Amino acid sequence: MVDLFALIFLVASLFMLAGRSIINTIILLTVQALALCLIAFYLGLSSQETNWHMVIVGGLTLVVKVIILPWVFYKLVYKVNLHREVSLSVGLVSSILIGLLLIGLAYGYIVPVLLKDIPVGGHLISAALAGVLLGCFFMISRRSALSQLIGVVAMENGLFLCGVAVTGGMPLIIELGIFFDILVGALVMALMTYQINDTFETIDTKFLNKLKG
Amino acid sequence: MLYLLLALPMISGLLCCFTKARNAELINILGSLLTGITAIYCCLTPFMTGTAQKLNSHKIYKLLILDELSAILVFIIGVVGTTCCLYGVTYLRQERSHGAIAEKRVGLFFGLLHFFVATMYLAVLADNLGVMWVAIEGTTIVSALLVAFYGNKSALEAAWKYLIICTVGIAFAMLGIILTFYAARGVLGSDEISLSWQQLYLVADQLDPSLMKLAFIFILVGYGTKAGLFPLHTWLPDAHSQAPSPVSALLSGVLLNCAIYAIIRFHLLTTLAVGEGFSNQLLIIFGLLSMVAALPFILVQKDIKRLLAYSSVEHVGIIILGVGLGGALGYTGAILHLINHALGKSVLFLSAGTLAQRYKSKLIPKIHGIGQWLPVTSAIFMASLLAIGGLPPFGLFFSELTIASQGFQVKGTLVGFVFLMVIAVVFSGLIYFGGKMYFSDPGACPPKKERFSASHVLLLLPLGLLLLQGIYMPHAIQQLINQVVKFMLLGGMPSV
Repeated sequence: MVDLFALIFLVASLFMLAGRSIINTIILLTVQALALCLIAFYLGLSSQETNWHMVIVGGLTLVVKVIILPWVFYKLVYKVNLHREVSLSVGLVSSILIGLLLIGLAYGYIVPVLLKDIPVGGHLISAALAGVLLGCFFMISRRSALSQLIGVVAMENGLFLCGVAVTGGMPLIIELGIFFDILVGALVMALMTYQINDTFETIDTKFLNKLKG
Repeated sequence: MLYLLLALPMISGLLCCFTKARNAELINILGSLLTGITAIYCCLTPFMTGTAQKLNSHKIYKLLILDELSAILVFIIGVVGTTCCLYGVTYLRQERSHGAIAEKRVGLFFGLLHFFVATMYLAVLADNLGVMWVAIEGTTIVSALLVAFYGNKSALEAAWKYLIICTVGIAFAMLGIILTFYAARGVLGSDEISLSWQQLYLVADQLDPSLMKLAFIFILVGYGTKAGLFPLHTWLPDAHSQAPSPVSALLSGVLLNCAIYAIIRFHLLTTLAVGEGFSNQLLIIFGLLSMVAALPFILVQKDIKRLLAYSSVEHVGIIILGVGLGGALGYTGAILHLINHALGKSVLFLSAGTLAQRYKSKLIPKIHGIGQWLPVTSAIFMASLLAIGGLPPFGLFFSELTIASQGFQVKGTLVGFVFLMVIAVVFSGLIYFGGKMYFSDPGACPPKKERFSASHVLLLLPLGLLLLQGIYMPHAIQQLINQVVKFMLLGGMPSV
């Protein structure tokens, strides 16, 4: 069951690389977060004893990453009038190929070779690390401030899954701190995107190139 | 007491945000003085009571903790943070008279400044890798808002790059923490206690070495980004040059040190778990790389604040190299250099900020004849420039010398030679630019002589500490430093 959700997570990450429409990317990000939330709920409720830690974390994911953040991004798209498509620095076909390559790297090298000391159950860790890498590459391949922001959240999703996969979730106080950070951080970045749009009249990051040397 | 240290800047920050400019200034002055006094009091306690907290017994866990190493950082934040907050008052009045900052945003500025200080205190006081990570990520968010405070194109660009690069970088540190948690879980259980520094040091030899090696690499990449180590330093000159000067001083003097502190802690842990020869090699390599890489940018720089920012990259390299070399000499040099660089560089940024304000430009060729125009500020500027360059009467000379001698002893001639050459070339570069600004034709006759004022006293205080340290080091302070070094040599155990 968990493996199925992890697969959904991975496919959503990969599909993010395939499109240029920002609205579709936000929807895929929501799907990704929903998969995380289901994994957390499943792990929390499936065993005999209810694991409250996982349930709380799942609830937080639902509120922060499935509801608040996509809503903020959606608002932002309308505020900055971003109906045109995002400009790319890597072409669509090659970015999907690189995406597949990164997934292969996570499944074929990082987990079996570098992390061989961690007993792997299912492919959760591989999917999580692939999610981190894909999020990172998503940021590089898009040249819009909002896409970079979405990439940061996608990376954070991968990290979260990584924590769940490797250790069964970080201690609760730290988990809370991370959620707080990601929420405030994403809001600040959204605010800054808005300011950039006001000042530069675009959020294309290729115009952010004045500071050098 | 430690909670008070966090609460004070938070409260004054909140108050500043919601009051008018005039009251905000007052709250800022009061709040930063109170915080500073509390910080100094706190950082003396571990030395007064002898062996810090007696945490040799297992399974005692507190959220905040103050041991010898964090006391040093609390001292730095206390002194530099207070200086910057107080100097911010004068700086902001100037900016308001130019119309660069609107009257109603003054409260917000001081509020953010205090939040920034509070997150840094949390980062160095937290006895938990996870909380520390959250705090360091918090510093990024708050300080990015401060970097973008002017709201013009270049400030926004710098803030955006800073925010994105550091957030992505620090995500890798989280991977390192997850691995550490996994390694520690088998020994300490899955509560938050297994991410406590104190407990981890006690059981370090039972942690899986290969996992800890991997974790250290992730941590070095993550916090190295934040500290401005070479290949990942690109955000640093942008953010430092575009931020308002009190913020640049805080970024360079304190924030970099917080990231270095995190690396030092993890280095001690890795050394205990893996043994010598892994993490210190990496630190030596990256330390030297940062020093050498900063060199060309310093020599051809035109922007005064970017010049200082690249000099920060070089000094971070020196500190990391000192830690990597290790031993009593290496650690002593690194700790002293940490303190000295924070004091010297913050004064330098603050006085350079005043110069740039007066000349309405940050370009070195446009700032000429500062000796005649601003005799007091320029004297302080030149003195701190010489101090940062490493001229003998100042403390930095001695800390650099200590690290160099350890380099010659441990790693042979090559490391020591490269180290000294870089410092010598950087020194000549700084003197060249300083001389160009000081001994040049001021153009028109200065309209009014600059008066000696309270803000100059503020700058002279850290400078005096640097000078004192170079000329006469009191025995008591030597004892304190020795205690810290012993703490580090024992790998994070309280010295008995």
